[in-house]
Amino acid sequence: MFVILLLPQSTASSAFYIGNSYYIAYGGKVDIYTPGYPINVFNNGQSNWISLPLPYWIQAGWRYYASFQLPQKYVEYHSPITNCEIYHQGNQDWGTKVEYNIINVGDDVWCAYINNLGIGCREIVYTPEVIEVMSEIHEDHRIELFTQFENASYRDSSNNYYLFDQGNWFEQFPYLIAIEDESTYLTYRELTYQQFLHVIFSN
Amino acid sequence: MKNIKIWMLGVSVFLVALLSLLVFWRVNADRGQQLAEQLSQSLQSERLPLQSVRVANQSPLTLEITLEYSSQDGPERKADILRGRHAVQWHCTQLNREQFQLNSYIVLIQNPSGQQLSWEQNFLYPSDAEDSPEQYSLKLSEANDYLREAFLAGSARVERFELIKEQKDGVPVYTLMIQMIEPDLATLNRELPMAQVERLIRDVNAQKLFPVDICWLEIKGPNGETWVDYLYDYSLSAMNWWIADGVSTEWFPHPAPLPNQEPTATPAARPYPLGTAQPTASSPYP
Repeated sequence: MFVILLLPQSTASSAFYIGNSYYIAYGGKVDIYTPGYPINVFNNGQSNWISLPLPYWIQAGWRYYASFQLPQKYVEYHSPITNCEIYHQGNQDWGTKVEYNIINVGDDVWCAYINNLGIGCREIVYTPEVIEVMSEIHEDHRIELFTQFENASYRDSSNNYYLFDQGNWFEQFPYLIAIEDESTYLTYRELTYQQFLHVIFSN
Repeated sequence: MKNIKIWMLGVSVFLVALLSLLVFWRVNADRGQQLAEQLSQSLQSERLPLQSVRVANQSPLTLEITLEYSSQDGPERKADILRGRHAVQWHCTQLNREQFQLNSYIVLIQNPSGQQLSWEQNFLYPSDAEDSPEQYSLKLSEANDYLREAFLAGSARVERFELIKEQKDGVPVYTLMIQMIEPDLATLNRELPMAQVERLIRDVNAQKLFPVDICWLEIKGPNGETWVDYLYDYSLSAMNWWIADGVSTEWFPHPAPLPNQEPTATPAARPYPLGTAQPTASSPYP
């Protein structure tokens, strides 16, 4: 009971972000795994993606919500004229890896690829831009998380890819990162007893 | 003599190959033009502000669709663009319904003076062959009642809740129209009725209750101002929307804020969390 009281009491109108970013590039790609087993997202959901930053973005990854049977690959765009859009691209089964890629193809046009298949292109923002590779938990801190990111890479203006070599980490309690290096890391939710210890020691 | 025969044979092979290429190119050009005309007719039947449909690339086939909207930004134009772009997506996908023909399409939006407002391209791929027609357990009116009961409007006043049947390209399309008025923005952000649409339409289809194709949700404020304009298409597995400033963005994926544009401290190195299953058989960590 004591432990429950120490947990975040309300996360209404908030999302949790956990991952890394690269400043700045002409695109990026990453392999994103789904957990090996179905996770509990309670009545909400999570998404795991590579993305441009706010306010206008292109984003590719997988999302899993309470109504989904399996995680779904998707591409999301938010651009000034065409507003917000999400296009699902089929399931990504539990325990599998998919490569997600966003690249600038000239001027302010960015395109999204899933496993090297072109999905769509929009006018978003001029290059270079920040590339975010993160997990996003939608509103509920109880949602389980266990997502592995591998080979997070940025793209230079000559279409060469290099592994992330910057640690611009995002981490929001109770979600944490287990880091192998800047391009390979695992995002996960701290277990309840670990949260208890965290609160005790931080006080 | 033998050399002349070989030479003639070579020329013949070359001519046959050239002729075949020309025929192939001509057939492709005709096919592309036919599809452009077919798409143009479909879009005109939707009364879209269509300027042109043209073949942008023969092989792989890409069509370019130009729509015209007013220069002045505002809720009406946003709503019109949302519907117009969705109609283009729907009809382009329909072109591939019986046979895969169209590889991608470009949508140009311009204002009345011809200035380009936006450019986009979407790629299409062959879909799995559909099984025999699905059997659904509810009739149209029953499905309407079921959806009305399942949809939680919260404190909002529902002005319209109607499941309608339309014919598009000779195909029946079932659209759920929801129009609501929510007097309080804070309440809207707390209850987020738009967040339940995707689940509602997925469930009614997955449970084989009724084949709802599209849901169009409009939420207005107390003075008739549009707060949410949301369109979910089950057949395209897509959703398009726009929301007014102040409406919560927490119900869809969006990037992390970059408060100071500065790298943060590296979190302490941690081992893999104990008691949690690994995502793959082989862990990359010790």
